[in-house]
Amino acid sequence: MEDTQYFMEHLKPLGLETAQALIDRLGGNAEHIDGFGKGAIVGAAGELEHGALWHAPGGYAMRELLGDSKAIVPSTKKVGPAGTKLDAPITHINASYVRSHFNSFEVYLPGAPQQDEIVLVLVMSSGPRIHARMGGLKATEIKGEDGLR
Amino acid sequence: MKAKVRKYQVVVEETLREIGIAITPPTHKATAMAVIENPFAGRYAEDLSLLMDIGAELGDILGRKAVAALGIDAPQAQSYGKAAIVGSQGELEHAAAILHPKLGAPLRAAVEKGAALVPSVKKMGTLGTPIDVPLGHKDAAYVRSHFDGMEVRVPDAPHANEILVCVSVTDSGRPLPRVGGLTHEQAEGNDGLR
Repeated sequence: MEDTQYFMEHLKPLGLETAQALIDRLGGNAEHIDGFGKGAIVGAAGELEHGALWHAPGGYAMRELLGDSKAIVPSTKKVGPAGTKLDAPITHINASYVRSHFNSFEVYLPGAPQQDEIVLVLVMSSGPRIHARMGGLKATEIKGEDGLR
Repeated sequence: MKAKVRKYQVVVEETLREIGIAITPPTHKATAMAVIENPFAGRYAEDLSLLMDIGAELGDILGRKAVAALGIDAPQAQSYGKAAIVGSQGELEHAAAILHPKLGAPLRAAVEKGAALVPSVKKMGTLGTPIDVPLGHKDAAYVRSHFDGMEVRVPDAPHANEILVCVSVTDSGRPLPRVGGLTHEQAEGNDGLR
């Protein structure tokens, strides 16, 4: 199917619902969340490009609910069978170059995606890596203008 | 050379058809990997500067290996990413020491320019653990057609006292990009974003 972009609109409510559920599970206070990422696993009957439909609805939902965060939401995607694992990248929500927050989260769902399904992934985190000591830009030094620094 | 390398492995993915549609020209992704000894396996070390230096060495070596595997000149590289898997006697922060402070500059030299952030992931793992190297456009992170990833693994690595380091480079975006957003042709590549 050539035109798939309409599906991004359909995914918007799911993006907001999933992002809110994540905030709730992490204690309910969006101010405590300072890392995010996303991803998609497309079932065998789909195409890689279907995973790309999650970029806008998934990303904008998190940025909106986390207080208009400035940074790009890092992501990855692939096609795979049920139970496929995905390493979702994580970066700081307001400045991509905050070095203590470069991280990732390996996730999978047993039984999904079936071949006509897509697993849509959002990730949030609070705080830096455990024992982070690599220097670089600190979360306390963010200017917050361009989403990078 | 500070890195004690056990093996290199380079993987090239070439896509000629996607969901029945011919891809002309085919898209290519390459990941160059190094399996190295972890000098800090089994103990806590506060100062990880040795791993930072190893990161600089591997940014150069793996960046050039990936570009060579694609058979392209450096300016033709379009997106990149990096990742590391730390064996069980190490610490997640060992991956951070390799990937973040010093690996980027020589990798950017290998692909020429590279104004954008190099997307990354890291995790602990064992023999054959797969890892999804995230991919983003090398000069403008918002180029939507180039958000992608490449899953790789080395069957016999990392051992408990090893680290697997991965650098990915492509000559293209996804095979059939059509979700809008900024394109490769529109990217200015000055601020790393657009």
